[in-house]
Amino acid sequence: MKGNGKVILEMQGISKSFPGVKALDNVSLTLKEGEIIGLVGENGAGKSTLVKILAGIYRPVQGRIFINDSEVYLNYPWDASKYGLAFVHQQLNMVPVFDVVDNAYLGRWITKQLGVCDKTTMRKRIEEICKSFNFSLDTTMSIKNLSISDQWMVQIIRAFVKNMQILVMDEPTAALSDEEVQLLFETVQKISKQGTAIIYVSHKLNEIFKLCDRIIVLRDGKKVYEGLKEKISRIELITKIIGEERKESIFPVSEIGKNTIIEVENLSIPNKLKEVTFNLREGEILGVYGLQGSGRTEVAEVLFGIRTQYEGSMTLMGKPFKPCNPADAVSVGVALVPEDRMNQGLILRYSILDNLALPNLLQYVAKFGYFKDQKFRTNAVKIMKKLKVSYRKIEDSVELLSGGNQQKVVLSKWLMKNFVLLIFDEPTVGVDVGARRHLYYLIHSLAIKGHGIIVISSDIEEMIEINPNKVMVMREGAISGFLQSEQIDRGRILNLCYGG
Amino acid sequence: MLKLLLKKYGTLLALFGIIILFSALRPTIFFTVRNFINITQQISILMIVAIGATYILTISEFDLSFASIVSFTGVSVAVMMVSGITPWLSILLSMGLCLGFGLFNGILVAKLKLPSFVTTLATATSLGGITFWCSKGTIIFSGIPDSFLIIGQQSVAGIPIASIIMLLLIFFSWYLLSKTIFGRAVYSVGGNQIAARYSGIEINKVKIIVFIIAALHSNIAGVVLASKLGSAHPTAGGGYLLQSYAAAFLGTTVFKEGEANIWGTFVGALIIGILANGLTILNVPYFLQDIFTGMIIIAALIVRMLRKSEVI
Repeated sequence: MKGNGKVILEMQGISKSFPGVKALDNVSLTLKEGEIIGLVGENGAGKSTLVKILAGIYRPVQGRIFINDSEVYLNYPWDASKYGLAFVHQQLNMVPVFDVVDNAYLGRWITKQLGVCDKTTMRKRIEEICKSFNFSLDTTMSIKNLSISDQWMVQIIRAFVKNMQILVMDEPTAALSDEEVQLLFETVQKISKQGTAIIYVSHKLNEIFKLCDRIIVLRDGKKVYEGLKEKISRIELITKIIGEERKESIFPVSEIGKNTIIEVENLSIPNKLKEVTFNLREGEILGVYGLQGSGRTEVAEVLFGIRTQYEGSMTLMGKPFKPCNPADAVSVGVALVPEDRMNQGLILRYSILDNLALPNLLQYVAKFGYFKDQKFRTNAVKIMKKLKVSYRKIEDSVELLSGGNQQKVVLSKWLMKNFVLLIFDEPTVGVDVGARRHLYYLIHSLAIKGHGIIVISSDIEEMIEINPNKVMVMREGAISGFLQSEQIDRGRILNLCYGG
Repeated sequence: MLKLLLKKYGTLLALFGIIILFSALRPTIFFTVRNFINITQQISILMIVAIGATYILTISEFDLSFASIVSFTGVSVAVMMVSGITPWLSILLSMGLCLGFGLFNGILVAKLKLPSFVTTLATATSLGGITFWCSKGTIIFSGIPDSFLIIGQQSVAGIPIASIIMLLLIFFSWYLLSKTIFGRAVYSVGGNQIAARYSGIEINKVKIIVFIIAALHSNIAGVVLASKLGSAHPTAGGGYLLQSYAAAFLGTTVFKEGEANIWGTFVGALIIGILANGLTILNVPYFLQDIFTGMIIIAALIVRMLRKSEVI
């Protein structure tokens, strides 16, 4: 009865905006009984927004939702639950000290009289579900004592606790082992045969092709493709996900010097990084591409002294390098433009001037610890002008600036001092196109000056537009390959990333 | 316009309002140079403790051990002096002990990442126990040399020594917090410690030093208090903990927007001190003074909230 059943869910013309972004733009979708739809797209394409609208977490700006042919308003999470929608969300949300049963029934505990939890009934139900999954689990364990993949299984089991007619899964397999993925797929197929309709969101195209009947592609909030999985090849699907080729990058490729800036050897962290080895020379730009959880951010964290528990060795400018905190890394010339600008890069309510001063205090110190504020101000104004930051007064708080200008302030913090290695982690999140282009230009002009640059990104457009000297693609904590400048294109990167 | 004025200068206006009120009610006693000098002496101990509180609030932590340190200092200095150690050396030794105590608090909070509120409550409890042990639970007064009493009871050129100590410490901390790179590091840790850390600031070191500075201020306050009273009691410092935070919180509403700052704290301490002084002159019972102090703090917090909501 696959695909022939009656329509259970219909979403018509759904739009949703966040300040500055249109997250979803007139997206429609129908889902039939027993059908499995694969929802794919890059980070920020709108997949999770769509899921959250169904879950009653976000409300759409426009559009209508029908379940079993009658219009519904999913304003709160309990509305979704009322209409038989169940979810496996992208983040684990568990109460660590509760046991498996309490977590699986979180907020929906079955009670006896006077609100006493009926643990026996609940436990029985969980054990039934586990059995149907062929999954063995001690239900009396506290969640915090389970492995991450078992916690994920509990999160998935949670969706099965109530009877459902639609199951929405947002990247449920990121932390699961191959066997567990297999168990999950068998179960999902079983319930779909019983009539449950499923929306499956994933980055992993293998899974999509294996599990789903129909595929929907979102890009920049719009639906760009919809069709049966037999109708599209893997390569075609990748092209749909990332869009048509854009123009070549026009940045000059800098001369690579002969001195090595940093050498990283066999960097490993249990469950995070596996024997990461690479080197970077003067004037070289290294792109690091990977999805969330691929280990890309962990590499930056080790280089900058944020993570200190690891195996392997590093050499910076020919000397052994083992920073035990960021201050250490900064003192030998490593700088980081962190992923989370608002929380890691800036003190939002402080002024541009105060933020710029943070890493530069020691350069502007006089007798009795006095901070030479006049001299610093002059230099700060200079650098703001050089980077074309638009602001009203340098004493204004940075939260008044646009995303692009904020990012330039983060960058300027480091440009006011000497450094040899500059790491950008997701440099253009929330930065508009024009400012983005200017940031890429700045990255190249820093490389031409002989600095070593590492750009970490999960945005393939960005990787291609920056056109680094080489790209290191990471998958599941390990390097899955290097691409030299002339080899860099979408297909090759994605092939390494998804493991073709 | 009035609303804006009230928000920006509300706390300062409150201070002047109180002064005008008391001056009108008791012009001959309250509004005299003598009484104002008197007030600076009365608030000196509170203000010295409150300077420590200002540092702690600046890094967005809590330290509930001030009162215990004040009491401990008095008792330890007294015990040492009674046993024959010179006043100077006794003060120096107690300072060393309090420095160690601040270091201990700092390490627990910064290095071990324990929540400062409960941690310092616990260390304060233990220190209180030690204080009782040293004093055997009684007031120590016989055997304290007269030379020790100079600090809290004498004046130089008509200005009480306690007030001079307070003013020196105010200037020192004002310079440290607003003019030096250390001050910038302290404010950055309070502003966003992750961003500070990611900018290469050693936030643990900063936090530990702040806890030491706070402990030392309570220590100095304890010395002044013991000298002023001419005796040491194991619970002598009891009232200073809440009042010091009250002063520092009031201070966040003046001068530096929403941030703890030394001159703001001074205004806060003045409000509390003048209120106490004026109400005493008016013969208002002590419990009413507490009620007023509590109300004023709530009012200051509301003003602060209004300001915050305006920014957002």
